[in-house]
Amino acid sequence: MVLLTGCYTEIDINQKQNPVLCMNAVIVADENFDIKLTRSWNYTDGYAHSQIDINVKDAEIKLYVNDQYVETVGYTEWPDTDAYGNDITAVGYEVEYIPREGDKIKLVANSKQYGEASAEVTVPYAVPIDSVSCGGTASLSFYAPQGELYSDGTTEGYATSVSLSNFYINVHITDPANINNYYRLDCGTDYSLMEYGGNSYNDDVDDDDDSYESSSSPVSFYLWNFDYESEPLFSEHLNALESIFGSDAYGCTFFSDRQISGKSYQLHLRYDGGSFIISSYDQSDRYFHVKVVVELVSLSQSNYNWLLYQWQKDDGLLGEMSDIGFAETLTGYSNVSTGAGVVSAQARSSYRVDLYDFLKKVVDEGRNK
Amino acid sequence: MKRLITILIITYFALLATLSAQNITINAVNRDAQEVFAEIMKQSNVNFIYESSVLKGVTVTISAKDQPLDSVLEKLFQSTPITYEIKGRNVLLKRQKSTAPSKKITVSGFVRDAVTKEALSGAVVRDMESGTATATNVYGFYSLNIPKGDSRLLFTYMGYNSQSEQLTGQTTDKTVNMLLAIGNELKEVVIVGSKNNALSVESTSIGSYNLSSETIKNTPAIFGESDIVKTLQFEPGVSAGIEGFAGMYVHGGNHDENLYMLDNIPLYQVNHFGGLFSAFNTDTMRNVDFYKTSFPAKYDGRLSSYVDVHTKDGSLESHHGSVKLGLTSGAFNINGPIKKGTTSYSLAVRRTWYELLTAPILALANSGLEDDDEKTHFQYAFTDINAKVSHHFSNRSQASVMLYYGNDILRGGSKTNNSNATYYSDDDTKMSWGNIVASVDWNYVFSPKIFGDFTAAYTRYKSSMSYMWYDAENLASTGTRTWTRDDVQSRNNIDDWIFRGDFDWRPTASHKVNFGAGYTHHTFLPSRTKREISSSQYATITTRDSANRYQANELNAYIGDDWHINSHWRAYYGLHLSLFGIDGMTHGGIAPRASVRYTPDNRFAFKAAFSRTYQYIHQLTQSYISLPTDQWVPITGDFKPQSSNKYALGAYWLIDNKYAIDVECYYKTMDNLIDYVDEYYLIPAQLRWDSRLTTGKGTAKGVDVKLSKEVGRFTGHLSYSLMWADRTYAERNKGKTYPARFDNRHKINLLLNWRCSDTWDINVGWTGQSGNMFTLSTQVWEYENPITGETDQVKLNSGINNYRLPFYHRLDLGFTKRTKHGYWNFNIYNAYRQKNAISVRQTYRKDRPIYQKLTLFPILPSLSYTWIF
Repeated sequence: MVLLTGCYTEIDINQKQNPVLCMNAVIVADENFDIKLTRSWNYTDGYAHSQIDINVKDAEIKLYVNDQYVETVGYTEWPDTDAYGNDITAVGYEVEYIPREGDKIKLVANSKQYGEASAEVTVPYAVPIDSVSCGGTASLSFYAPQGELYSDGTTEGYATSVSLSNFYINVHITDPANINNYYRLDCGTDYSLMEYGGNSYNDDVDDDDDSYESSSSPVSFYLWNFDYESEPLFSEHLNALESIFGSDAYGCTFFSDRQISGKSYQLHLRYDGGSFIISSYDQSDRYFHVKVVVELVSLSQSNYNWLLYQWQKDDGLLGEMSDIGFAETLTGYSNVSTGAGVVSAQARSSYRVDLYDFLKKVVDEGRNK
Repeated sequence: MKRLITILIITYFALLATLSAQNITINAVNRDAQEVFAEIMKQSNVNFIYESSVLKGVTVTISAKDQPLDSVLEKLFQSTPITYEIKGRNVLLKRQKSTAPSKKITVSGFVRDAVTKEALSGAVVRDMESGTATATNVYGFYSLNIPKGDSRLLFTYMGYNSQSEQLTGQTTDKTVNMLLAIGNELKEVVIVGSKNNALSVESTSIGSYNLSSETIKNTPAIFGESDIVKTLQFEPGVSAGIEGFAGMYVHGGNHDENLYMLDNIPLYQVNHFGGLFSAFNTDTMRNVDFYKTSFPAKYDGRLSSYVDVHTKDGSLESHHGSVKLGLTSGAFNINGPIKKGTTSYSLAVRRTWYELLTAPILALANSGLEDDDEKTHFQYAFTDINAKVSHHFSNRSQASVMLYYGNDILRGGSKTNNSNATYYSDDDTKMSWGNIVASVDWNYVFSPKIFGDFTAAYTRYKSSMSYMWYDAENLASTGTRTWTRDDVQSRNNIDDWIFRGDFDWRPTASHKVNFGAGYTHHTFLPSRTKREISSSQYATITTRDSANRYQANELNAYIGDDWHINSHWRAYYGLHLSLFGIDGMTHGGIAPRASVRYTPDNRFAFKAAFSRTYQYIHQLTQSYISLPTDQWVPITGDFKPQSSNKYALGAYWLIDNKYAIDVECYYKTMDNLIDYVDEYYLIPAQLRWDSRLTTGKGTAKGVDVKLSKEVGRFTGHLSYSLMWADRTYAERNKGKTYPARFDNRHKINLLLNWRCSDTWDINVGWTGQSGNMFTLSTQVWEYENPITGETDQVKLNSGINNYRLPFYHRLDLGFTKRTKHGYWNFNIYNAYRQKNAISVRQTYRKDRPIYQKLTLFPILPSLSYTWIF
């Protein structure tokens, strides 16, 4: 009732501040990285990039590793492609140093116009995955040895289709003791059959995107409807009221080791469904060598905090209440001295599970019926 | 000159020696004093000088043989109320000043309503001969020390006919119980309030008010729900918080720093409906004591204010009651005698009636759905029940049993049941929060000078939330049934066992002492959450948080003395001692209280006061409204008790016994305050709850000015407050001091009640204040993940509470029409539809970044009818 009676009206606020430096970087162990240096702007001044140029080009950034000066980097531009594969000109500050696990990285940026900003982050150690086991309910839903399956149900050529439901992936990890660890778990499938002469086709399934299809691959393997609620660690940041009011862990596969510190733990991942399809005249058994790929990303605390902030802002009760003034305003998380930007670090380990035995058994049983 | 002085001194001593040397012989038994004086005058050649009234009723007995004058005089007056002084040849006689205890008697008793026999709290009893006066306590008891002999006691209470009692030649203690009737001459004037105006000049306290249930009912309120907190929000120095809600931020304090007591028992959950209404049903209230500045020694445990609600006992003579139907709730109350003259009962029930609307609407909506469609259910209700049975064992002994139950429940969910029985889904959410209080109270008049009250009580505060989701499917292909169930349960409880004794002691006419002690055993369950996910497909996964249950023992003792030094000076001094043992640690608090008043005459008063208070229990809340997630938690770990020092000055002017002007200044320091750290949400809720907290300090200062009128057809007050309040925490706002959220610099309140005829009342409330402080991000920055290209526009932290919302003002109107059997009440909240801002958000209009203010309540009319029987 309270909210039904409320309304919003425009208000003029002339409270402006001087911009500050904003520094963003994601540092991955054993990979080159670059730094995005921009500035903050007054909200009502307009849109970044299209109306306001927020890139800071006059700065230099000093890199310190384990308290030792390493290099100074300046603004550069280089050709790149965006997320959609379009050619773009990337801008930023490219670092030559290749960080290693355990490195304490300190970045100090200095701009004549916007002053100084600094941030420090330690590259976490990758934590190996002990083991992964998969399974679920599967049945041969279509088998047309004389035809190829089309999406409209018609067939031509040869085709085999396996339906999966309640597919589980149990990931066993051991959290290193005496250190605070933060993780993100990424899951995907790999049906590239690279070892068998295939191309690189794979699909991340944790984003529920089952639309990716390859016109040239003879095999596809999808898992869909990832159940984020199936693993309690993914919702450790939810309080009871958030659960009740409908906030959920959707999109959250990050967690801390607070509940599993120094212990072995099995993560439970669940998918509602999936499909494995061979669309080829060649019905070779090698096509069963599709894989589930599990990647455990060790995160710096700043990376974890940023993810948590994003969730709270978009889905958390605090974000909802602060939007309407019932709770303190939720401002952005930052580990940069100016309060703008996030410098984070990651290290990855991965584990691949070949589903050959699982799928072959289902298909063989189905074909023999 | 020196010589002259020497001669005079020698002459004086020579004369004295002469007088003393004149020995006297006299014998008298119970003879009139004047006859004896005549005899002495003959023998000693001295004069006796006195006023005729001095010897009134005085007889003397003496036996002296050849003794000096001074020895004879000493014997003569030793058992009389007369003192003497020899000056030359004259003996000056005076009545002894009425301070000697042996020359006093104590008059005590109860003052009650003549019809219902309910105790009248705050009635004034005055001895018209000596001018001594006192006020009845909450049980209607008074004790007054007056001189022996004749006196006339005058009993007065606002809205009642005064009564007097003549005592003639009274030489022993006496009990005088008085019944006061509602004044005929006052029936046509406003019978509200108490003697706050007179008290402001007479008492030593600063910033204290006594509110009657009529005053509360006469305050216009949102949805027409009269509310103690909404009435107090009109007092100077009290910030209301978020518009429409029953928040109370007194002199820069926090919402959890107010102690609400129901018949001496502290309550934790004091509101309903997310804070829109307070949990106190005004129909059950007799009166309310509110202290915001100087605190009597009895009160401790909170930093900012004390709200002591006293409930009605019920009539000892006849049955009365009322039924009210309002926009949001209905209420029923009844009281009367169980055994006439000795035992009474009082029962009041208040409940929302939304279900009467929501249940049929939802049933209708669900009935139109297909079998396979999702069917929803929803319920919200608040209930409070007050029940009390009182019994008078004798004129000296009374007891009562009181029960209070207050609860909010919110429930909702949906069900889907496939007609082919292939799919079933059910989700159900339930939240419940409130208090239960059960208490037994016995008070006893030990002697005319000592009144004792003993209380034993059990209270439970509970807040629970549960969520269940169940999903099942019958797989035709395999013939199996798969299901998943998710259960979340969370609760926060406090169980208190309370034992306390409070005493009023009148050792002398000039001292009124209150003392007492109490013990409370607390059991805290700050937060316990359990989540269980089970499925037909895999093993049950259970997670629990690590919250501990805490046992705490709290001991309190206090003493305070209200000392009438003389007709100009009056002082109150006291001490409250407390011990709080928890988690293997014991915290202690020594809280002195002092105030002093000076009155040049009975129209003006000037006061100064100091109060120190401690708080061992605090409420953690993530929002400015009341939610079931708000946790009451004790001091644990490295945290120290919150404490406050408050200094105050006051000046008071009573004009023609009709108007009063109060000017009060205060300065308050608060230490060991507890709040969430910045970005506390980054710390998972499953961790120890205190890992998200930080400690700090705060200051508040200001001036409250109030002009009030409490008698006549036209009553009300106009007040202005000038206030500052700030906070400093190590882990908030980068350690920098920032203004408190409800640091409303200027606040003006106008509350008017006009009884325009026998049947019509008009009530007007207007409030205007500087806007609340708000954390506004004027700058934004761009997050960019250089790997994924993901970008996000993010608010820059520019400091906590860095922006003041626009000036807030609102007019509320209330109209009451009395009928033969009851009254109609029509309220208009925000009568001129002011769009007050409660927050500001960033948004876009036609692709232009703009700020918008959120307005909560437009004009809100409400109507209720109360049938009285």
